[in-house]
Parts: sequence; structure tokens; C-alpha cells
Amino acid sequence: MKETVLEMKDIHKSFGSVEVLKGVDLTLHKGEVLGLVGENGAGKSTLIKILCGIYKATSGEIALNGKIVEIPNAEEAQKLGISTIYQELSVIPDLNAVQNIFLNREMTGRNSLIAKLKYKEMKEIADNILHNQLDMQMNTDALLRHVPLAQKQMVEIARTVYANAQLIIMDEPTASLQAAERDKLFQVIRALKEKGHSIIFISHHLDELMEICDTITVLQDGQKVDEGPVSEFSIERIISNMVGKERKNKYPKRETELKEVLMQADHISDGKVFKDVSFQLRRGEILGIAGVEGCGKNEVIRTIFGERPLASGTIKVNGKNYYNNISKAIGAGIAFLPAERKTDGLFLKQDLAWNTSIAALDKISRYRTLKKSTENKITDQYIKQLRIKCSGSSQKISSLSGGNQQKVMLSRWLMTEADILLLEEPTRGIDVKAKTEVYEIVGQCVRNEKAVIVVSSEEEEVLGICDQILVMKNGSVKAVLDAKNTTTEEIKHYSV
Amino acid sequence: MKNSKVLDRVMNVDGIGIIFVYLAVFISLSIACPNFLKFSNIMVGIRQAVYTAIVGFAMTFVISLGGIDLSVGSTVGASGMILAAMILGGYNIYMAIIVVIILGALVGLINGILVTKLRMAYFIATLGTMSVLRGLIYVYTKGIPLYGLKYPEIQFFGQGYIGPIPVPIIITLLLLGISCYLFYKTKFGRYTVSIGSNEEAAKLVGINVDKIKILVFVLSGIFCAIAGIILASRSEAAIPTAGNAYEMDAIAATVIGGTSMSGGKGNMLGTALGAILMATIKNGLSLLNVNTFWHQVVIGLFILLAVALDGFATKKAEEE
Repeated sequence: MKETVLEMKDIHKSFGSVEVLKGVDLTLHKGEVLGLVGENGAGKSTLIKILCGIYKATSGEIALNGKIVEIPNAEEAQKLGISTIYQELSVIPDLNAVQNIFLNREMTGRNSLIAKLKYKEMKEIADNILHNQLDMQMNTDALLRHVPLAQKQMVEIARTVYANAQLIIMDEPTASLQAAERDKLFQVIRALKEKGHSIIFISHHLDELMEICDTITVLQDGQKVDEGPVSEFSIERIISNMVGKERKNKYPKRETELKEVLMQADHISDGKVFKDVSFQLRRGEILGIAGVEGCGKNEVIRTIFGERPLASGTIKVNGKNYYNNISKAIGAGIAFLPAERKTDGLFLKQDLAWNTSIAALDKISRYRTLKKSTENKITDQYIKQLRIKCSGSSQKISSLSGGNQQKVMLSRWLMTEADILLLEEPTRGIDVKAKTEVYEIVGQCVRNEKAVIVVSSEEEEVLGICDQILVMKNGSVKAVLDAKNTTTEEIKHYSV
Repeated sequence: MKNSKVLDRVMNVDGIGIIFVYLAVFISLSIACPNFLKFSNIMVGIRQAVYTAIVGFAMTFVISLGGIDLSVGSTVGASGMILAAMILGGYNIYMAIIVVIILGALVGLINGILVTKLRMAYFIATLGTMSVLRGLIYVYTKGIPLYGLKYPEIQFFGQGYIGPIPVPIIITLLLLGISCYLFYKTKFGRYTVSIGSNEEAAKLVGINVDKIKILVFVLSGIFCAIAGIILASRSEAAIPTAGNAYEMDAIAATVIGGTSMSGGKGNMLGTALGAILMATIKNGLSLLNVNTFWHQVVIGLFILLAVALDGFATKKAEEE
């Protein structure tokens, strides 16, 4: 019987009158990887924040290695050996790997703020951890600003290794990783396990959880609804526990008639990342662009939208020549949903209504004056239509879950009555239930004679909702596949 | 139970804190000083608030945009100087006023272009224009005030009355109305705040960010020109130091009024209240015979108090 490293008993947490955790138990053994799953809003982040000292539980107790502990703040959590690696990494880009690993733990001659830094010794240790223990070859003197995301993540892991954290929490660590980098991460996790570190692994990628975790714990609506060793689990079981009912198909079935060509791209190239991309997009069609990160698929739709310049090739919309700049794009009925909601899409200081109407203010204007009543009415319509879970149109957008935020982004563009929707990773970072709802919304759009281009790194998603699939690799289109006659393996085959 | 619910709603009105502070100050000063509540004294207080308020409205736009305009004081001074120079030079008074306003807009245009096309930081660009303008004022006036603005048409703006209300206050109220309308009820206001909230997202919803930035600075220039005209009219002269440090008072009024320094959240009415609060404090301190140098200290303390309370409220909201 492995020794217990962490035991959380009957954890309750309320924010005002809203109870977010309703008595959750969690047990983690030494050298174990525990997969924590649940929809957005199920309470995963809250539970983790309690462990990291960011929140204090309303009631319940936490025991580390058999001893009951208090975790009043983040510093105390660190001292107890609890370390977290967030999805949006927290490395300092203007420092290099060595400096990041030793941040707040610098080696100096004497214990003083103005003592000389022992850089050589620190670099030696940093190199040892990265090159030898984690098998990551990288230049530790390079500023992290210039280093790829996967390497930044390794530096964060190296930091927790140096801190000798006994409990490492990884929040969506594979979200932006390519396949090879993800395999590397899993290798590292296995190595950490062997050295006695214990890991809580949070992810929406159920297949990955099955691959790397030893046990799975499922949260739903603030309660633990399932747990057990991974050998007893299947993806279906996890999903059914998360959403509460058996799901046969994750993707809604649809048969739509394809009508006239709405957009035609001929040999477009941006001169930097992609070249010679051509396609035809018909009304009622969902075109998918698949490929690994960096293949150029994101740049294609961003260039079409006008966020980046076109170097050569032509784009026709509704038969007319189209010049790609953002305001012309919106005028031509094109919409764009960026992958990074928080940095590129949402106005976090504002409320739902503001975030919904901002691209179509003309629709709530009368004699050049904005009418709040119209804005509220339209926003309420979208809240109802898209089933956005919120307390109303004046709720701050920052307090909505990822899935609901994405629905607000969709309503923003639906309000512009755009005919062509360009979706960049539309279901990234949102839970299974919200994903299905997003697919249904997209399906409804094409039934209403719109056309959609979906750029996605999830082959299964692309296969599930698209009609035609362009597979890109290193900037060019390697294959054009018919979704009805292909498989995820074939898509993967052309991507790598 | 019902009482606490009403209390909750009242406490959540944006900017409610400042109204309480104002009432507290008002009441204490009324008790401490017998002359405070005299109408003539109240008028003095409000008159002083006029310049801070007008420049403050513009500053609220600029700060909500995510920027800052340090050149406002110099623009006020330069406007008064050009007005005086033209009138004393024999030009038609109303034409002089129009020219001054256009030149104010031009200063704003220059600030806007520096910040958009030349990609300069707001602080640096407006610090530059501030210094250049103030320098030009001294070059032209050689440090000597331009006296003699005694024509009734021009005196009207700073010293006239419409009914019982002084003209500067009417102008301020008009500008407050225009500012509130633009800020809360037009696309221009929405886009301004959106850019301050998330510039990248603003671009991606089709907002012409450069255009809005330039327009905001042009608005600032125009408001400063108007304040400069009123000031010159009141002084019946153009003094080289006119407008000095107005940016500080404007920023103070904006911040005390509840606008966020990081942009993306503005309170136009709060700025007006902030200006009145600051003027009331200064007025009260004068009546209490407090040395004028201490006024600065007290204002500074109020700024710290306002920002601290705002930070505290934000922290509390985040914890919930």
C-alpha cells in the first residue's frame, strides 16, 4: 500500500451564498498521478486554488503526509512542497532559464538582498536538471521570451524539481503542445513519479488522462461523483459521469445541403508562414483545417480576416474580389473568433452585454445614440438561444466559465449577422458539455445557410463536425479529405 | 433583511464612495467654518472647480482609453496666450475664439499622431508636447503677461452671468452633458473604453483604434482650449504660467472620481464630483486660514485615500 501524500476531507467552499465545493474528498498517494476531471464550473480550479493557498476552504481539512495542515497563502503552500504549473505559464520572459529556476531561491554568498549571485553554480544545477534529469536540451542562457512554449513549460517543471516539491499540480499542461512535445512531457512525468513526486493532472483531454494517470477523480457540480484506478475507467465512463447521462455521439449528426460558393481562395500566401492555399467554401458547409501547431492553419484564417497581410493570391467573397482588412472583412460578413479568448477576445472589465454587442453597435443605435434597453433585449435573446449560464446580461464576463465565455463570443458574431465564421480552436479549454453545445450552435449556423471554417488541433473534432478537411503541414496543404471517408489516423498521417 | 438588501444596492453604485466623502467634507467644513455655507462662498468654490472639471472630462476620456495626456496644462496656457495675442492684435474676438479652439484641436491631433503613427508611449509624447508648448509660451511672451482683455464680449466667458448662474459654470455643465453623452451613449465612447480594456480585442472586432485614439486627443485639445479661454477671460490677461500643473488636478479629479488608471473603466460624473470635491477642500482650507501650501498636501492625501479605497473595494470584489 503506497503511503498517502495528500488527503483532502469534506472540503466545502462558498463564495458568498454560492456553494462551489460541496464536500469533496481527495486522496493522493506518493508517486502517483491523479487525473482530475470535470466540466468548467465543476469546482476543479477552486479545489486546486485551495491547495495552493489562494483560497481558504470554508470547512474541511487537508492533511499532508498524515499531518493536518493550514494553507493560508501561496508562500505557505510552497513551503509545504506544493507547486502548481498553470496553463498560462508563469515564467518571466525577460529572464533566462537559470534565473527562472532559481527565482526566489537564488544562491548567494550570504543571505542578503544585495549579496552577489552565484550564477555559475546556479547554471550548473539548472543544466543538470534540464539536460540530465528531464532530458531537455536547451540553451539555459537564452531569454525565455525567445524560447518555444514547450521549453518554457520544461523550465517551470525544472523549477518545481529544484524546489523539491512533493506535490505538483499541472493545470491543462498539454493544451498548447504538439504531439512530440506531449510525449516528452509524459516521459518527464513518469521520471518524476519514479523519484517520488506526486502529481495532480488536470485536463480536458480524456485520452491523455487515460494514458498518463494512475487514478482518476471526477468532479461534477462541486461534488466528487466518481473515482478509481485508471484501469477501471473508460472515456465513456468519464464522460457519462461528467455530464450525467450516457452519450452515444459527442458530435451532433447533421446533413446539410451545400449551396453556392461563398468564398473562394486561390493560391493564397502570406509570404511568411503558409503558401499556395486554395479552397472553395459553400453555404451550409463546415470546412476544417487541421494540422499540428505551427503548420500555418491559424495564420490562414487570420490572414483572410485581415489581421495579417496577404502576399499573393486572391480571395473572392460572393464572387467579388475581396481585399483583406479587418473592417472590410466584417463589412463583407466575415467573423473571426480567436483562440485566446482572454487576451484577444474578451473585454474582461466589462459585462456580458458589452461583450456581446461590441461588434454590432449599429444594431443598438438609434440616431447615433446607443440604447441600453435594446442592448439588454438582444443580449437576453442570445443568453436564451445559446443557453448561456449566467445571472443576466449585466454579469461581469470575467466571472463566467470558459464555455460560457465562448458562447458570448459566438453571440457577438451572430449579432453581426456574419455569413462566414472563422473559428480558431473554438472548443479549446472548455468542458465536454459546453463543447457539444458549441457544436450544436455551429450546426445551427450552417443550417441557417452560413459557412464556417474551423481551425483545430483536435483531429477528432475536425472529423466530427466538418464536411471537408484541409490538412496542412509546414505551411502547405498536404491533403484535402472528405470527412465522411477519412479517419483521424489519416489526418494525423498527413499532418506529420 | 430588506434593509440590508437596499443598503447592498446603494453601496454598489459606482462611485458611491466619493459622494459619502464629499458629504463628510461638506458637513465638517460647514460646522468648522461659519462662512462656508454662504452662497457667495459656495460660488467661489464651484468657480474654482471649473478648470479642473473641464480638463478632467477630457482626461477621463484619455485615461479610459488607456493613455495619459500631460500636455493639457500647457494647452490651456497656450490657448489663453493665442487668444490674448489675437484680440490685442485687433482681430475679431469671435474669430479669435474659433482659431484658438482649432489650434487646441491641432495640438490634440499632433499628440494623436505621435501616439499612433509614430507609436510613441502616451507619457513621452504628451510630456514632449507639454514642454514644447510651455516653452513657446515663454518665448512669445518673454515671461511677461499679456494684459488688457477688457472687452465685454470676451469678459462674458469668464465673468458673465446668464440669469443667476455664472457663464463658466454653464459652459462646464454643457461640456459635462456632452462628455457624458459621448462617453456613455455613443460608439465613440464605447470604442474608447474598449480600447482601454483590451486593445487587441478591440482591433479584432473592427474598431479603428488609431482613429479613436487621435479623436480622443483632439477632444482633449478642444476642451483645454475652452478652459484656456475661460481662464484668460477671468484673469483679463494671458499669464505665462496659466494652466501650470492642471494635468495633476485633472488626473486627481479623474482618479478620485473612480476612473481606473489602467484604462477600460471610466466614470464621467465621478470626475465632475472629484473636481468639486477638490475645489471644496481648497476653499474650506482657505476659510480656515490654512496656509496655501498645505492645500497640496491635503489634496495629495485625498488622492491616496481615494485610490486606496478603490483598491480595497476591488480586492474585496475579487475575493468574492
